[in-house]
Amino acid sequence: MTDSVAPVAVSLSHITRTFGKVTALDDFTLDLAPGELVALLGPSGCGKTTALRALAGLEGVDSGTLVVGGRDVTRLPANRRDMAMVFQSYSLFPHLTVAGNIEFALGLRKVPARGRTEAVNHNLELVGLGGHGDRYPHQLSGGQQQRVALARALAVRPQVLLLDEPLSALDAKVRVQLRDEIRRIQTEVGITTLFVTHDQEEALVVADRVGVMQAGRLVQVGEPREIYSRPATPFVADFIGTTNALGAEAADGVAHLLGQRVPLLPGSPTGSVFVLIRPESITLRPAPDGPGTVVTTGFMGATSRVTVQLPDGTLVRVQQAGAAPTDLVPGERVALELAAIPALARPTAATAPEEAAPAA
Amino acid sequence: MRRGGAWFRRVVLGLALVYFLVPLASLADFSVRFPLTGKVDGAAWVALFGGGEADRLSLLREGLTNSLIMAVMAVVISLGLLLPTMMLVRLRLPRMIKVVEFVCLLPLTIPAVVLVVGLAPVYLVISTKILDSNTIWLAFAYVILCLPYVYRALDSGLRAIDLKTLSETARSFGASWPTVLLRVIVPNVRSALVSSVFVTLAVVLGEFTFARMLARTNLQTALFEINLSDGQIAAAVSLLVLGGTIVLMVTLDLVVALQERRIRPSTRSDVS
Repeated sequence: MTDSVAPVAVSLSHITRTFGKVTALDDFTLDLAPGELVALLGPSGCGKTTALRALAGLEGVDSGTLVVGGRDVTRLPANRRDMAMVFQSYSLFPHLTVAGNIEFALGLRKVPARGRTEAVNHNLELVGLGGHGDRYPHQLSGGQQQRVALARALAVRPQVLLLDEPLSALDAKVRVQLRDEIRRIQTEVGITTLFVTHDQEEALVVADRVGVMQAGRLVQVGEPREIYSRPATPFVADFIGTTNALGAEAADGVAHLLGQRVPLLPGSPTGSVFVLIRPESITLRPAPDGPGTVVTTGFMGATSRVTVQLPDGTLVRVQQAGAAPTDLVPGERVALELAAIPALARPTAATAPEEAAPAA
Repeated sequence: MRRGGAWFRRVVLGLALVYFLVPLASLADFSVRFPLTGKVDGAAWVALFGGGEADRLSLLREGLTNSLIMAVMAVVISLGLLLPTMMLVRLRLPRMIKVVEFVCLLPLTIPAVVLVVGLAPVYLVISTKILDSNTIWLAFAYVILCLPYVYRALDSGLRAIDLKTLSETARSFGASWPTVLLRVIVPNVRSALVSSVFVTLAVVLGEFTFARMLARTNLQTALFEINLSDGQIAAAVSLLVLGGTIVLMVTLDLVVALQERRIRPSTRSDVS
């Protein structure tokens, strides 16, 4: 790539930010390796957007430091931080054409006029909108507008690219398409990127690492597979993907339930617990004397989903590849086979996953 | 029903036209008809354009010049004051929006006569200690008079755009606050700016009470003076001023409409 910039490391250290009585960021620490794409994921109000805006300089911080490429930018105003942002809402300047929008940004970054046209065309090609330079924003669809916003952000060759839920205003199909494209372009350009989203699938697909946030704190950071298969806390297990909380007796790192043994992840409590089991870790088998009763079945294309009721009334969601499970009929008795994948458990006393303390 | 509706609309339009045009026609008639004899002659118009009434017309020229200067000053001051303030309040102090609105709309509720009584001592200080007794300093008072209208126009303009996202985007690309204001916000609230200019022009060119009570000469007080001695010239000048203002506003409107059309062509192509 001719226009790639040397990727820089970004470090947010012990950032705290409060709004009145609300603590939006609580001792938030995150490091991004050069060229890495990290997704911040969490429910709304968890502070993920505040973290991004603090890095952009659009939000001040109460304490902590922000270092970009070895330079402390904590006290620098937004317009001197050499970053570019794509917002959730459409942020193209309505009075300028597509090309005008990109040129305006390049002008703000003092790019010489000679190189601007070339940069405009190159970046529009990059996002698949070559030849759209003379359109006005209102002539573009939402997806196209976000592509232009991305092209504009990339054109100024920022040290850091900030994406604040750029896909959430788009419809499902465009969202998936643009999501994959953001990843392709980011890999191609090699720019350090912070991506904020509340969509777990988006985060898992796009990011090198995912940071899960809860109430202003970073609960777990790791590669998508690690986050999914080895959640650090019940909150993470619950927020990423779907989990079934099944009652069990835990001892010596093993949980006993439904007459089977499931290994537990380190840090799981012992005694009476809920084991958090993924829907795809359960296989169903028709068995007249089985403990489960089929409640509903649903065909989802590549997979099928079945809801099974246990004798104690617990509803268990099961997901399997193919259409075979939909042969089961509601009311049919089934046996549940649990895969021997290490699972996380939480004490039964904990009322809600949110209130469980993060595991060490 | 539909036919009835069209008929109703025409009647309303006709009544409105009569309401607006009859006084204008009467004014035109009065400017060319000698009141006592009813004889038609163009003496007032000849005096205006022939330069026969130099003394009286110099007063008028002074009044018109003052009013135009004050109109420009009022436009510059009110926009320069209000637009950045309203932007700042919306972005940084949203809780103050109601307070700013209240302050800006306050002049609507205070009669001009009451305002001028309050302003008289202020202008005494301005004319003796700070500036001088030149009429154009009345522009400051006119800014207050225009405040409610300018506020309303800008408010609707700013509501129509995503001020926060646009300014944050520009900021993140490296724009300073003046750049955000002049190159991002102003072009997107252009029609609001134009309507504030319109209303400011109209208020300042038509203002009489302040100037009269503070003994200054503006267009309306000059017209009043002339009217005392020669009603026909006053009528002719009123017509001219009205025509001039209309031409000015229509021109402004056309210029803006042309620019808007360039930005927002009517063809839309929504493709994904």
